[in-house]
Amino acid sequence: MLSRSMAIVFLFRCLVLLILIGIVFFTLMETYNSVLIEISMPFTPDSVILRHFGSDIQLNFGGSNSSEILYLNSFTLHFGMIISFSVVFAAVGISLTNRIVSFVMMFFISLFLQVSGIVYIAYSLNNSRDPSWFAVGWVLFPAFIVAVWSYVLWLKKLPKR
Amino acid sequence: MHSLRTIFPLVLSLVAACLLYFYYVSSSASEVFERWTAIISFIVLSMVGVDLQIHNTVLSSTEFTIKIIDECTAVGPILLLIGAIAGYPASAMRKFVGISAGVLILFVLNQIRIVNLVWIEIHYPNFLDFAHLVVWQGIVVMVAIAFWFSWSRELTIKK
Repeated sequence: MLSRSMAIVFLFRCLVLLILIGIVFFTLMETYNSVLIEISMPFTPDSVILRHFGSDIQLNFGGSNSSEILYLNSFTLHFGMIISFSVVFAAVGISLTNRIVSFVMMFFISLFLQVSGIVYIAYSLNNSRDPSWFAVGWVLFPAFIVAVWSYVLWLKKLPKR
Repeated sequence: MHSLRTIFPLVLSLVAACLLYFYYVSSSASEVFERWTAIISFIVLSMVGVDLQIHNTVLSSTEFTIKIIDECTAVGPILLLIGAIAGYPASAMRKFVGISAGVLILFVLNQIRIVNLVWIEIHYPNFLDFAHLVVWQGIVVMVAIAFWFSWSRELTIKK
């Protein structure tokens, strides 16, 4: 487990990285959103059209709810990826290989969850259901994944003091 | 094998916490916590000199209007922390102490978060989304995880 000094270094690094990676994401948001839209499109119902709206993703319902438009805030959608990257890069005492493997793993897990989130919202609203799982996913899944990664792939591998 | 015996109940407990949160956001209990959070935020903001009104879960002044929703309460991170502590091998007493301290820390942190976000809304409204959805959300997650690590480390040292 982490010593107190290592924990302080980790928290400081994590906070700085959270802001820096957040800024990087802000600049890449539109390009990354295009990728997300491209990947999600084949899985969404035909009546739902996905497109950009500034830094948001717009879900346009062209079916029975033709007037309905939903804007998905990109920061909400990308928060999980930003926090997981911050934690992986801020982790103290792990090897470069472990860091790179973890980074790639977090990228694909986040991408899968983001696409799933978009598809889930599209289906929920298309069927006039409340997308409650999205709130759970946005708030808890990133914390859940980061906690499990930290415990299994980071803290368990630290030498016992 | 020992680590598997530790990890399995932990993951199971965290999944249970996520499920509980799902039922919480779909139930009327969430409205009660939203209202409490709105009232406490109103009191704290009034104490620091912000002139505002409260209507149900909406806090408003001439400069801003904010609505307290499910994600504004500390219930999500608190449930996850309870799941993490409950799923970790420790005595009932240690779990109780850990949960009580963790709930208190996250609750206070959440109130600080709301006050700070109102301050950002008044002075730097362009940064509100970033501060709200990335920075403060990340701080809450990190504090919950760091608290859990330090609680479990105390246990390891005492063993």
